Amino acid sequence: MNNLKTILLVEDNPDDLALTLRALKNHNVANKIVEAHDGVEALDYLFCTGAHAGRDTRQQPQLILLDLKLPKVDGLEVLRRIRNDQRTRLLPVVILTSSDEEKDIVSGYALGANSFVRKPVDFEQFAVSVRQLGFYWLLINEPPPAIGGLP
Amino acid sequence: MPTDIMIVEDSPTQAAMLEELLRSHGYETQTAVDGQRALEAARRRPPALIISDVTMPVMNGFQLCLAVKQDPRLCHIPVILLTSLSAPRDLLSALEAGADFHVPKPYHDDHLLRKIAEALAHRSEAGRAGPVKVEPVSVNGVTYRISASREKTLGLLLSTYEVAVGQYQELVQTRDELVALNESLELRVRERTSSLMDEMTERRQAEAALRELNVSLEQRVNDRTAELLAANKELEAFSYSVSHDLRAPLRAMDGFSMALLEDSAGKLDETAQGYLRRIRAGSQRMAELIDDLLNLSRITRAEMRRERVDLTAMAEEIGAEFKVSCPDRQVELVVTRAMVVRADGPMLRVVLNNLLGNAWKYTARCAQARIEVGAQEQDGKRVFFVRDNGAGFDMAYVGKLFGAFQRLHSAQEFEGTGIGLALVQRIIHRHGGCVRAEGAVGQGATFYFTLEEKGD
Repeated sequence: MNNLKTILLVEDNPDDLALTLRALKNHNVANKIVEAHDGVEALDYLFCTGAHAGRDTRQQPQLILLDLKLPKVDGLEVLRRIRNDQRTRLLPVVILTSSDEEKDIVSGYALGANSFVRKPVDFEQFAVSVRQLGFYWLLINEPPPAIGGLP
Repeated sequence: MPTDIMIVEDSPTQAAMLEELLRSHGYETQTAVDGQRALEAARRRPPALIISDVTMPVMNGFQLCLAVKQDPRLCHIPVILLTSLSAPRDLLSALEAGADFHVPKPYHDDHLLRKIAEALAHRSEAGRAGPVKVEPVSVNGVTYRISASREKTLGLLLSTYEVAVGQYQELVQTRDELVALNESLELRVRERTSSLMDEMTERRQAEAALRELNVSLEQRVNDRTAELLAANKELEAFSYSVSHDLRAPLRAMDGFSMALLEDSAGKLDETAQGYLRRIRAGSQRMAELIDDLLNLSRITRAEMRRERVDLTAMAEEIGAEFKVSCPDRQVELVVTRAMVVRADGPMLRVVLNNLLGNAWKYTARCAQARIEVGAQEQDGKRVFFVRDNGAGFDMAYVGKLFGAFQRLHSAQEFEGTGIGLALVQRIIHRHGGCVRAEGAVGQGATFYFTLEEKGD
């Protein structure tokens, strides 16, 4: 299972978390999913600090699904730190958020987000979005070297 | 027999004035234009008195006087010289010539008449004087030989003195007048200065008040601007929060209802499943309402950028999109050619999209749907319109048409959130234009709008 591509799901809302996990499972995305419930947890996981001290920093997720409105450290700040660190700067980051505010979209792309997806209220559309995201980023997209499929 | 007076004067005007004066006082006159002729005339017919000007051609007044006084037959005739006597030399020349009196020019009539009377009264003395001792007098290096008697000298000096006194009195009077004038001028200057000072004080006070008002106005504008900025920021934060936080619970309602339907369909009867579907429909509708509200608030805040907008092309594009999305519908769309305006393109697209969308929607039950987009001239302004022959509306409710979330039809009849026309109105208002509607139930509706078209 170590070799299987990991998804880091950064989401503070338990309902959204449950629904996203359900959508991923329903669409047979069997990848390991690491949950982070705020910005600090996400950064601890990526940089192997705090609760994740001792984790190998070379083992990085194939995809990060990042909410913007997060407790402690918000999504845009998490994205900034990912892009400013040699170990994580090439990781695909998809912003998955309720917002469709122009300034959030612009800031997201300016900080180097790979995609910006607005969570639809309609669960069927939401599920389709999640399936397509998984399909594209885990199967079609060729990840940058040194992440994902390393032994 | 009247007294005969000889006038010696080269100026005909002055001679005539003197003749007039003397005749009016009972004297007889004879006039000569220079000393030579006067002397000849006097020898022919000796006058009682000679009044002579000084400056004359051929023989001047001094020479004439001298000649008269040296002629034994004429020497008793008193001579009055009309001189300016402004320099001592003139006085000495008069004395040398033996003049009896002199009267300064310009003379006062009374003064001259008095001197004439005086000279005539002393006529006898002039004759009796006989030869007198000649006295040499030196003034400024020139020696004058004065042969006049003491009385004559005294008389001449007195006349000079009189003239000087007269001139002094005139000077005093003039000075007094000047002083009075000066005082009145000073008074007027003081009055004017004081009124100017008052005016200046008033002006300074007004200026100070104005400055104060300006400052307070500026302060109020600043305060108001700050308040508005804060309100706007708050509104932005509110919208952001709405878009973020209100949608999450709706997603949970919809998502978990869906999960129930998928996972536990077997355990739920048709009614329960219907309820779940209603929960989903409700949450999705609420999500639409939230999105519409956000759009309305965004349109209000968004920056306007005016550009050239081809309304004709835009209307046709939107019409074509509707036709593609509803291939079953038969709608005749008529768009007036070449409607070009200056407006914010994306905003105007929202307007046309809503008006055409409404027309499209409310003609759904028409056998022969017709939508017209055009422009007409009204009071010198271009008025654009979107007209349909659809369901129309009751003019009694026209006031509710443009209110946010106001609807004249039920959701079963025609779907919609009731935000479209509110959006249209805000956009048109932001363009400085007006929007209004006309319609009748079952006879279609027409929406008119104007745009304040700045520039070209």
